[in-house]
Amino acid sequence: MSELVQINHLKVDLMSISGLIHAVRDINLTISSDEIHGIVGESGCGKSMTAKSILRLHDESKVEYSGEILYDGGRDILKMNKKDLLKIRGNDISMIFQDPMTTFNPLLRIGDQISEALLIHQKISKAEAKERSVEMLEKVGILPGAARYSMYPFEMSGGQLQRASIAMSLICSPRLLIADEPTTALDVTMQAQILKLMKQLQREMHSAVLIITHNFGVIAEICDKVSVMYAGQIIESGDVRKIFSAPCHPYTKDLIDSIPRSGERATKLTSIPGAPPKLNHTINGCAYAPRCKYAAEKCCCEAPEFRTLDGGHRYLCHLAHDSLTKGGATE
Amino acid sequence: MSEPFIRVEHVKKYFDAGNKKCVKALDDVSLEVYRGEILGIVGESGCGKSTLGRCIMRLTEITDGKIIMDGKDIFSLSKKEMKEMRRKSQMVFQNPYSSFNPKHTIGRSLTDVAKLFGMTNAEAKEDISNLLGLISLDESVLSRRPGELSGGQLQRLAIARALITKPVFILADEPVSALDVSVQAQILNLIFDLKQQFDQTMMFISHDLPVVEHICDRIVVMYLGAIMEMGSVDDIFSDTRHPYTKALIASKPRSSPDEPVPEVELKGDLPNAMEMPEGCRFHTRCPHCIPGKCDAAAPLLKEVSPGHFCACYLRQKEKTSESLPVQNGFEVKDIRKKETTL
Repeated sequence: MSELVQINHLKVDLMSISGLIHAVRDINLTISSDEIHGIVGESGCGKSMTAKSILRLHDESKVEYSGEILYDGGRDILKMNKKDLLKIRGNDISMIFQDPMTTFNPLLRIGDQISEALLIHQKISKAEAKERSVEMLEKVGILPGAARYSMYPFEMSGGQLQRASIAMSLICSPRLLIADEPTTALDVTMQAQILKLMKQLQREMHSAVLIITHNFGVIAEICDKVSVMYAGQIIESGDVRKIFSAPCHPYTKDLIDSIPRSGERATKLTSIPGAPPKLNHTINGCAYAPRCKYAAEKCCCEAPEFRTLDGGHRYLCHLAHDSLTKGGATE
Repeated sequence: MSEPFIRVEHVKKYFDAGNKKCVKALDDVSLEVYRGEILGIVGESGCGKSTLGRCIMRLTEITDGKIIMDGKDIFSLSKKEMKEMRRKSQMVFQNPYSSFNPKHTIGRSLTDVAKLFGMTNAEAKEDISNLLGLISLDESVLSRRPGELSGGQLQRLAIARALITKPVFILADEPVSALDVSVQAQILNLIFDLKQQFDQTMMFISHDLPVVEHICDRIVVMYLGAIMEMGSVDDIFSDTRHPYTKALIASKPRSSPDEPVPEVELKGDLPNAMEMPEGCRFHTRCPHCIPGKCDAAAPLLKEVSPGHFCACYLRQKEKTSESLPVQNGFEVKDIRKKETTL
């Protein structure tokens, strides 16, 4: 496995009416080729901001980046000129969005929108592009591809459109696919189908996938690695099985515990008191301290540093890694 | 179980879709909500679960059938009687941000409801402060406006507002789907408290199976405007009969990567509601479809074990008697017979 995208000390500041918002606060993240990496967190934690920064999709008159996003071992996406960036977008790195209804231009045929990417990035004829688009449509389960090629977006259901947008994003065989809440707008039965399809295509095409979601179920379903975000920071990251079986950061643990599980009925759930901090000022100490039941005096004034365990598992907390299972705060 | 507070009898709600077509949002739905229970309604989008809720609250008129609330048909009530009914039945909506007037303070939004139902200022004040204690919020929120509060706080206030009139019944339409999981847990715990402390009767509409499993006593599974399966939580989750319920349970994301991958998988998409499939409405996606039977006539909703109903040919074999199930004095009639006469 090689490192495909390496994010170093990424900070994203957003200019808004109420002042500067530090949406992403110093993130380090490595996405290796051939893995499905998930970013999970609650709304406003900066997960989408991070994902969009990889393709620089923000309005750059209102957003300020610092740090670096290295693509394929060298080039910094944040310093790239427009021309090089356009070569990468849709070709090397492509994206699927949350709402399939707004992904497509309602006035153009689905098929033409899919082959457009091919015509831009590759030197092929229109007929060839159409042939490959039809193939791709059938690959994602839209059958018969040739007939569906000339349909308009409104003629398809949400689930089919999400399949079509997967076809569109994979048509140039990208090395990284970023999926921002790809199943949030869909029903559970459709969600299961789409997740299965994404996993199958990822294995076939050997591309890396970065999936952004608020749903731990989606993470459990398809990810190899996961990063948990809170208040603009990654607070824990590692192998998905490790994170689920032995979370080290109190936030990760609370979040997993607050999900109702099948088989557990009529019991009280763990709820997290309070709300995430506002990101328009600097946060002293640990961002989670005000809501954390393990918080000590130290947590409120001193920012924690990453602790690293075996297998690339790291977390941002003052607590020793086994203190959550022991049930008390040590150190 | 105690007597039903609400009886929905053969309710149909058709929406005109032009071109002589209609969408059958509810097609002969019958169910009861008993006092003191939380009844969960689950299904995919477009299955009619919200329409059913709106009909029960009389927010829309129905095409055919009856809805009996507290012994009275709600569609034949006078304005005055309806107001009393509105006091008894309250609603909590999906999006807490749009269920409060953004220009009014929270205090005003709450006292307005109290005054509307004839409380004096002093009574209202006392009630509201008690309710704030119940939802663990400070009195300082009363002077705030919705924009200053978080989604979780607002949803708790929406529940408090529904409780001001001391309702017998609360209808919650997807009350947690707009919220983050940590906040979702707060709301579910609050609903759980209401049930434990006050025996609150509720109908809980949701598309999220684990949530419904967690807090409901009985569950109704709907598909394309009709009930597929209905029974207690144990019936639905431990003794699943209908293939659709099975598929729905199998499609929910696993709660940990170590859980086994379920085998059943649902193929395809919901059919177009304007061109309802012949026969069993689920047969186009059903893995066990029997050609010639399932696509010819719809199976009836039959009682497969006490209190557990299922509308599927396959799962009813155990039941030998051909008689229609009788519950609380009224029959669950043959859906198809009625439709052929239409």
